[in-house]
Amino acid sequence: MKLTNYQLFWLLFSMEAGMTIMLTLGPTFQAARQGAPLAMLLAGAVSLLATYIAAKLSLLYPEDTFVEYVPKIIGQWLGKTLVFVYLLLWIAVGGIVLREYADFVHMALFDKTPLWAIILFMLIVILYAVHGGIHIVARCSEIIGPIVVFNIILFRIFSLKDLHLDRLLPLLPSDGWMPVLSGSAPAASYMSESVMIVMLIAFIGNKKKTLSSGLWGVGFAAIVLLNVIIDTMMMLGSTVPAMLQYPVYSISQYISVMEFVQNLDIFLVVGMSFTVFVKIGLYLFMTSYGTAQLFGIRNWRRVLWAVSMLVLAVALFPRNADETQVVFPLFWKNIVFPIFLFAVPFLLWMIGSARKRMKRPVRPHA
Amino acid sequence: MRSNLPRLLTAILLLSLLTGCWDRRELNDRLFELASGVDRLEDGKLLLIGQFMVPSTSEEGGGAKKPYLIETGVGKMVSECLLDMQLKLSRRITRGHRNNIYFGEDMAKAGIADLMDSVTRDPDSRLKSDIWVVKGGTALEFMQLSYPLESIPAIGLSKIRHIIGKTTGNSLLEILVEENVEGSGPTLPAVEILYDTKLRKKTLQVYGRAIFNRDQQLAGYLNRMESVYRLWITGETDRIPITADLPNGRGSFNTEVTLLHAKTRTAVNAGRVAIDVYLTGSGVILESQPAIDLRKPDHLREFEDIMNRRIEKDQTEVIRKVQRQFKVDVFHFGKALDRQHPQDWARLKAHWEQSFSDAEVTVHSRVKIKRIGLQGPPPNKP
Repeated sequence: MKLTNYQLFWLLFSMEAGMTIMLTLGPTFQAARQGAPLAMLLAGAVSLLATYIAAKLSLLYPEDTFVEYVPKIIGQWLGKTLVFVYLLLWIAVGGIVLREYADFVHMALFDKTPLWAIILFMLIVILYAVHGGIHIVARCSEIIGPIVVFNIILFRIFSLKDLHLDRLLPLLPSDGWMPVLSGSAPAASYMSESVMIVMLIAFIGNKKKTLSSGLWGVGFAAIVLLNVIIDTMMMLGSTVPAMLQYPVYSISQYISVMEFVQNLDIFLVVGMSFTVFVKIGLYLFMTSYGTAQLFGIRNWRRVLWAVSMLVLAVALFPRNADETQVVFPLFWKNIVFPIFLFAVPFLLWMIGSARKRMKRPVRPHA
Repeated sequence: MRSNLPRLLTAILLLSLLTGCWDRRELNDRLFELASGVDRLEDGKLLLIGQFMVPSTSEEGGGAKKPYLIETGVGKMVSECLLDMQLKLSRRITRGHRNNIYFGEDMAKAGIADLMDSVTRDPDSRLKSDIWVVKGGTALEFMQLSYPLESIPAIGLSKIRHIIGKTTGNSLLEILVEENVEGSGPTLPAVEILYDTKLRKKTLQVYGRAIFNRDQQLAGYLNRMESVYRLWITGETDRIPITADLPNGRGSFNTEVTLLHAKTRTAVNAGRVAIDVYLTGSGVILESQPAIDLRKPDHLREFEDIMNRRIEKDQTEVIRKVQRQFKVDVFHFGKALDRQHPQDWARLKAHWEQSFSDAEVTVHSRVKIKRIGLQGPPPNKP
C-alpha cells in the first residue's frame, strides 16, 4: 500500500469539501451573519495550521503511523490509551458522517426508502474499496476530486447572473470580530479533520513534498468553501441561509439558466456521495488499520469487518437529524476540535521534536 | 466448484436490487404542478388551487381537451389543503417544476406570513418561484382564466414580465431576503384580471407591485410606472419608457431609457436621514410629436433636460408616496445606509420605518439621449 503526494492532495480535498460545504454554511451564517466570508477565511487558515502541525508531527517519524509513534513519544501506556481514544473518535465521526449523508440523500431523493438501506448499501460499496487497501480509495479520489471541482465550476458559471454584489457588503458586521470568530469555529472544526494525515503519511512513498501537497489539499478545499460561501451570500443574503438546513442545496434548486438548465441539485447529490465515499473510506481504513496495529493483529482486513459493524451501529444510533447535525457537531466543535485536533497533536509535536533534539547530540558519543 | 457457490448467491442477491427500490417513481404516476394559488375563505380557512399539466393529450387529443387541469383543496394549513387536493387526484402531486404561486387579494390583506413556510420547507418545492398577488380578485378566478397564447396560462405571466424588462422572476427569494432587513418592506409583483368591454373578454394584465407592511400584510399597490421607477433604484429592471411634455402645450415625446443604473448616497445630519439618488441611463427617442428637428444639438439638449426633470419629479413622487402611504422602505435605502454608515444604521435600524418616512430624498437624474430614431422632425409636419 503506497500513496503518492498527488493522491494525498485529492484525498484531502475530496474528504474536506463535501460534507463541509453541505453542513457548515448554515451555522457559519448563524453566528457571523454578514461576516461569514471572513469567518470562512479564518476557518481555512485555522485548518491549514492544524494540518501543518499534524504533518510536522508525522514527519518526525516518517515511516511510522500515528499508532506506532505516539507510544514512542509519550510512553507505552499513555500513548496506547491516547491512540485508543483517537480510534474511538474516528469510528464515531465516520458513523455520524455516514448518517448525515444518509439523512441528506433520504431527504433529497429516496424519501420512502428506509434509512438503514441507504446506510448499509453505501457502507458495502465503501467496504469493497477499502478492503483492497487505502491506495484503492486514493485512486478513486483522483477521479472523484476533479469531478467535484468540475461541479463547482459548473455552479459558479450558472449562478453568475443571480449574484447581487451589494449583498456582500459590509464585510465586517457592526457587532465586531466576536461573531466572526465564533462563526469560523464550525467550519474550522470540520476542516481540521485533516489531522487524519497522521495515519496517512506513513504510506507515502516520497515524503519530500508531502507537507506542501497536504497543505495544498486543505487549502484548495478552503478556497472552494470560500467561493461557495461568497456565492451563497450574494444570492441569498446573509440572513436567509442561517435559517436553511442545507443552503447550498437550496441554491442548487434556485439556479436556472434560460429556463432549461434547472434543477441542478442532482449534481450536488452525486458530488456529495462521492466525497462521503472518500471520507468514510479513509476513516474505515485508518481505524481498522490502527486497531490492528494497536492490538498486534496481523490481518487488518479482519478488523475492518468489525469496525464497519461499529460504524454501522453508530450511524443507526441517532434518533433524529438534530442529533447528527447539531448535537454531534457541537461536541466535535467544543471538545474534539480544540483538544484532539489541536492541543494534543501540538503537544506531541513539541515533545517529539524535543526528544529528537535531545537524542541527536548523544549519538556521536555512542 | 464449492468456492463458486457464495459468488453465485451474491450475484442472485444483487439481482434483486436491480428491480428498483422503495422509491420507485414512475412518470405515469406523477402529476406536475405548474402553478398554485392560495385564497382565503370567509371562515378563515385556506383554499389551495393547483394548476396541473395533463399528461400526453396536447397533440393527439385533437386539441379539444385543455392541456391543464385545475383542482382545489381546502384546509387550515397548506399541507391540509394539499392532502384534500390529493384525495381528488389519481397521480401524485409533484411540486418540483412549479414556478408560479398566486395569492388572492383577501389572502394578501390577511397576511402571507404563515404561508411561506410550506413553500420553503418542502425539499421538493424550489426557492426559484415567482409569487404574484392578484389585485382586486381571487387566485381561483385568475387561474381559471384561459390564455390563448400559451398552452399553460401560468407560463404567460412569466413571459410578459421578462419582456417588459424585469430581469429575473424570483419574488419568493426577494421577499425572504427583504423580511430580514429591518424596516424594509417586502414587495411582490401584482397582476390583475381585466374585463375588456370593447372586446368583451377577460384577460390578464400585469399591474405593478404589491407592497407589504412589516407584518406581511398587503398595504397597497404601486402601478406600472411607479413600480418600474422603484425597480430602477433597486437595479432590477433594464428599461423604462418615459413620456415627457414640452412646456406651453407644444406636444409630448417618449424616450425609452436603457442601461439603467442607480446610486444611493446616504447621510445622517442631526438624526435626520438625507438620501441622494443618482440615476443614469441612455435613452432612445421612440416618439416625438412636436415639429422640432432633433438633429439640432440644442433641441436635443432641451429634450434631454425636460426628460431629466420629468424623471426627477416622477421618481420623487413615487418615493414620497411610499414614505407617506406605506411607511416601509422598499428601495433598499436602509441597506445602503448600513453599508455607508454602519454606526448610524445600528442606531437607526430599530425604528427605521419612521426614519425612512421622515427622510429627505433628493433625486438627481442624468440620463443622456443617445439616438433619435430615423428622422429629425416628424416628416408630415413642415
